[in-house]
Amino acid sequence: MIHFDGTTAAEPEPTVCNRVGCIVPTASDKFHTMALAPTITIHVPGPLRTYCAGAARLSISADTVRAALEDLERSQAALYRNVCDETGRVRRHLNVFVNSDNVRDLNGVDTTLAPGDVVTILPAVSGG
Amino acid sequence: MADRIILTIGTKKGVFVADAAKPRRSFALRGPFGPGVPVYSTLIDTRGTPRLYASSCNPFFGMKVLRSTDMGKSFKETKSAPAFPKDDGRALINIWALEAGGGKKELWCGVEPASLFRSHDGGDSWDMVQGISNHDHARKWQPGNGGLCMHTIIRDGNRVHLGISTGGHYLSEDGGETFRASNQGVGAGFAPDPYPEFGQCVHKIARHDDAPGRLYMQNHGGWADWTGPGGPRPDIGVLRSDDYGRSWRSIAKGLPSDFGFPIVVHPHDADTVYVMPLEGATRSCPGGAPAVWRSENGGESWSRLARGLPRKQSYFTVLRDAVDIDRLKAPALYFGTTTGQLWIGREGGEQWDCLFDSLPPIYNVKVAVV
Repeated sequence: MIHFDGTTAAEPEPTVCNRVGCIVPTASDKFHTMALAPTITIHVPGPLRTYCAGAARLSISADTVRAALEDLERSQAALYRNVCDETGRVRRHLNVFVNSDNVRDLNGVDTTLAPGDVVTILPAVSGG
Repeated sequence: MADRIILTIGTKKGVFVADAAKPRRSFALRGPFGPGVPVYSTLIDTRGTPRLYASSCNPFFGMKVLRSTDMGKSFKETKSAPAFPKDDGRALINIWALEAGGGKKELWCGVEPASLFRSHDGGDSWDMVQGISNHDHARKWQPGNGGLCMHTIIRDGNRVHLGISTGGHYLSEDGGETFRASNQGVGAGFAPDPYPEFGQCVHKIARHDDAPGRLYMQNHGGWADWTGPGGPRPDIGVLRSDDYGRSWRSIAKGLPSDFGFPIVVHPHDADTVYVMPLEGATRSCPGGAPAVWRSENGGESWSRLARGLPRKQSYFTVLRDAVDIDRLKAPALYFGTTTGQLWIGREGGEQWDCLFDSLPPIYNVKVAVV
């Protein structure tokens, strides 16, 4: 499988669990089984990994995209500033997908999340 | 180490650095630095060990400030960039001005939407300057074609002059705590009132340490033929103040156009000032023949400097921050074009040569002797 940013599933991709504030593999995080909100994965595009200790994926608990972004604001402030502007809006030239659907076509940042969902942040197509 | 001339060149695709030994025969170029995104402002900070700064306008991931501590061999992001408070409602669009402040590490930064920020630690943290950013007029300013930008910051003791497009000239006389619009004599061509209190499309302001109180301004001219309400506004584009910017008068007579973006002052002669007149409609030099124009008497008369520049069929634009002049005894001018050429005007602009011919579109040129 090839991700949108060109990395492959076979590549080792460090996962950060924000809920405990340190790098912990999701599979071994017992907190997740007790959480009320579903555990989801945020896929971080390559250019932004420098802002989250190199992590390609972040594992967090959130029941909406908005809640996931709020979690990022608290736990990964530098990364968050790249994704959302000062007003809290997702930056204009970024797209946020839940699995394969752009949240623009769902319920925006109020799109609900289910266990195992993958939230992908991608720069919009641009150029010329 | 012998003096070197260093240039920072902000472009559509990152910042370049060029340097040369004192004779300025040839410049070595390195870069681009940054993630290939527009750089509208740079600063060569010569306080102590020289540092270079560049804004980085990332359309995807927001604004960054880049800093180099090795004379432009590498750049790294500072710990943070200016940002509006969360409850302000505004979001940063671009960084248009970086200037050295007091002490060794203070920086001032003008941004879009027009606001002012200050750093006390060399760009790692920033505070919004409330006196202008939340001025009563701030929510009434309108964006020009380039956006609503604060592009000029001039410090003169306790005075601070700001240029805002379109907001006009704002003056502080208490070190930046409070500001007032100071635009008497500064015309506006895009409003029924030709001389409003504020809202003028100021393009650039310059001053010289040896002439206290004197300022030069390139304003948005090109309104001599306006026939609508308020009537024609000839010669509002190039102005001079002799009272610290409280009032302004035209010095545009003798220029082929009063429209243009940059204005710079000779480093050793406050009476010598340079502009680059452009046609208002095309933003290119009249007749497709580029020229810098120089006054050696404070704007009373002007002469054309074009030796070595193309004589025809050149339609580039030179933007507001794309001209600078070095401080050597016989200073050289430098200008960058929207077509990616960097020109040097030796002997104060008497002889022009193209240093680099195919850079990305150039937004900003700064020079220093280090």
